[in-house]
Amino acid sequence: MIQDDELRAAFARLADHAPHQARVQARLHRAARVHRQRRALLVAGGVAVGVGVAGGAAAVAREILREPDFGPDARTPGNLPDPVAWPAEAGNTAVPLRYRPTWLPEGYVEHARGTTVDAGPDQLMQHRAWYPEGISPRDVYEGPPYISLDLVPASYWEIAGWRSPVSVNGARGGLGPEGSTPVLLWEAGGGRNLALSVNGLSVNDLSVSGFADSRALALAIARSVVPDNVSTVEVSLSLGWRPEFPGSVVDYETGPSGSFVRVVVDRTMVLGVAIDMQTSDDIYETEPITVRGGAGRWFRSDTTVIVWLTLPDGRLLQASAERSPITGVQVTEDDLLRVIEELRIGPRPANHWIGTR
Amino acid sequence: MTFDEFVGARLPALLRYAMVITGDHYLAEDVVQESLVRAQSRWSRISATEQPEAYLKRMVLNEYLSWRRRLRAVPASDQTIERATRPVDDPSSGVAERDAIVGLIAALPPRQRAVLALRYYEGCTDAEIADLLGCREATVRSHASRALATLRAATTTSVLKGG
Repeated sequence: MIQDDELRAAFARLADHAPHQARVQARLHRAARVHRQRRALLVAGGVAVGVGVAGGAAAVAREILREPDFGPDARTPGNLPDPVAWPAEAGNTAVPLRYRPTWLPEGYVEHARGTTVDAGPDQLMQHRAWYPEGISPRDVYEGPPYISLDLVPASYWEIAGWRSPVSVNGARGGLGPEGSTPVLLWEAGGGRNLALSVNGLSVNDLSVSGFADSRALALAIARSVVPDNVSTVEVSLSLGWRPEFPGSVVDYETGPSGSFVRVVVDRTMVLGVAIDMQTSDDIYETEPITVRGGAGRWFRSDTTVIVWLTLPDGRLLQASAERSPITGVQVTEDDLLRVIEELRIGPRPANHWIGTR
Repeated sequence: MTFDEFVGARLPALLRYAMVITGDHYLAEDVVQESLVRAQSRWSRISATEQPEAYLKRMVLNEYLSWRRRLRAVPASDQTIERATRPVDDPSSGVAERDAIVGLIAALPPRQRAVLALRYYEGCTDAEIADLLGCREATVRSHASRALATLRAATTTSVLKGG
C-alpha cells in the first residue's frame, strides 16, 4: 500500500530529472533577441499576407504471488447494436473504420473518431474513443476515464517484450502493467496491431463493471472486437499544402469538442489546425494579422506560433506550429500561414454517432 | 527584482516543478521556456504581484495543460511505457521500488499527475489545486482518487511479484 511519504519521495526523485537551467537560459536569451528584432520590423512596416485559396473540401481478483488468471481465450458476447453507415455532408469525405468492439461496459458512449488521411496502407492509423455518458466536451479536458481502440502499424507498437503474453481470439497479444497506455496490444493481421487503452478508471469504476483491474476489462473488450467497415469517420478538413518532414503523417480527429487535422513527426504534433474547439487566447499577448481575408490574431515565440481566426460562418479556427522537443522540427511562421490559407474546410461533420454505443 | 534576476534565482526551482508536473524532461524544458518568454514581455506587471513565482508556476501549469498540448496527446511514448514497466529488481530495496513509482507517475494522465504533483510536491490543498486548475474541488478529489488507485494497484502487484 503506497504511503503519502513514499509519494513525496517519488516526486522529489522525479524532480531530480529536471533539465539543466543552462539550456533554458540560452534559449531565453536567443528568444529575447528574436523578439527585439521582430518588434523592430513591426514598427517599420507591419505584417500582412495575401488572400489565399478557400473552398469546400476529415476483477478479476488479483491472486497473491502469481499472475492473474484472465480466463479462457473466448470471444466476449456482444451488448452493442450493429453499426450504422451515415452519409457524409456534401464536401466532406467518409473514411471507413476497420474495427469495432461489440461489447463495452455500461455507461460508455462514443466520443471520438480519427484516422490518418495521407498515409499509405502500411501507415494507416485509426482511433476510436468512448467516455462516460453525459460528459460535456469541456469535461474531456479534465481527464475523465476513457476507453480507446487504436489500429496502428505493427512497427508503431510492437508486441514483443510486453510483460504478459495473452491470446485474443487466437491472435498473439501482450498485456502491459496496470496504468500503462495502452494496456493491451494484439495482432490484427496485415502488418497491423490493435491497441486497447483503459485509462483513468478507478477501482470503483471497474468493480461496477465487474472487473478488478483495467487489464481484465481491456481483454474483455478486445475479445469482442470484430472487423467493421460500416462505421465511418467524416473528414471535414484537409491540408491543401503542408511542409514536408521525413516520416511525417497527417491525421484527423473529430468529436463533440471540434475537429482537427495535424501533422505528426516522431509521435509529436508539429502543426495542427482545429475548428470549433472552444478555448481562450486571453493568456497570450497577441498581435493582429490578416489571414484568409479575415482579421485574426496571433502569438509568436521562439518555439510556438498560434493563430486564431473567426471564419465567415462564425466557426473558430485555431492553428498552432511548434518545435518538437524530440525531433527539433520547426514549422516556420510563413509555413503555418500558408497552411491556413490553403486549408480546405468542409461543412461541420454531422457526427450522428456521438453519444451512441 | 528584474526578470534576469528572477530567472537566475528561481529557474532551477521552476524546472523541477515543471518536471514533476509533466513527467517528461523535454516537455519540462519546453513549457518553462515558453512561459518565461511570455512572462518577460509582461514582467513589470508580474513582478508587481505578491508572488511572482506563484504566477509563473500557474503559467507553466496552464501551458502544459493547454489545448495545444491536448492535441499533442498522442499515446505514451515507448520511453514512458518502458519506464513504467521496468521490473522491480529487488523489492526489499527502497531505491528500486521508488524508481517503479516514479515510472508509474510519469505514465499517469496529465491532469491526474498534475493534481498529485501539486498535492505531494507543492503541498497544495485541494482548494488551492482547484483554483490553479480552474475546476471544482470535487474534480480535484476525483483525479487524485483515480491516480492513487492506479498507483496503489500497480505497486501492490509489482511488490508481490518480486516476493
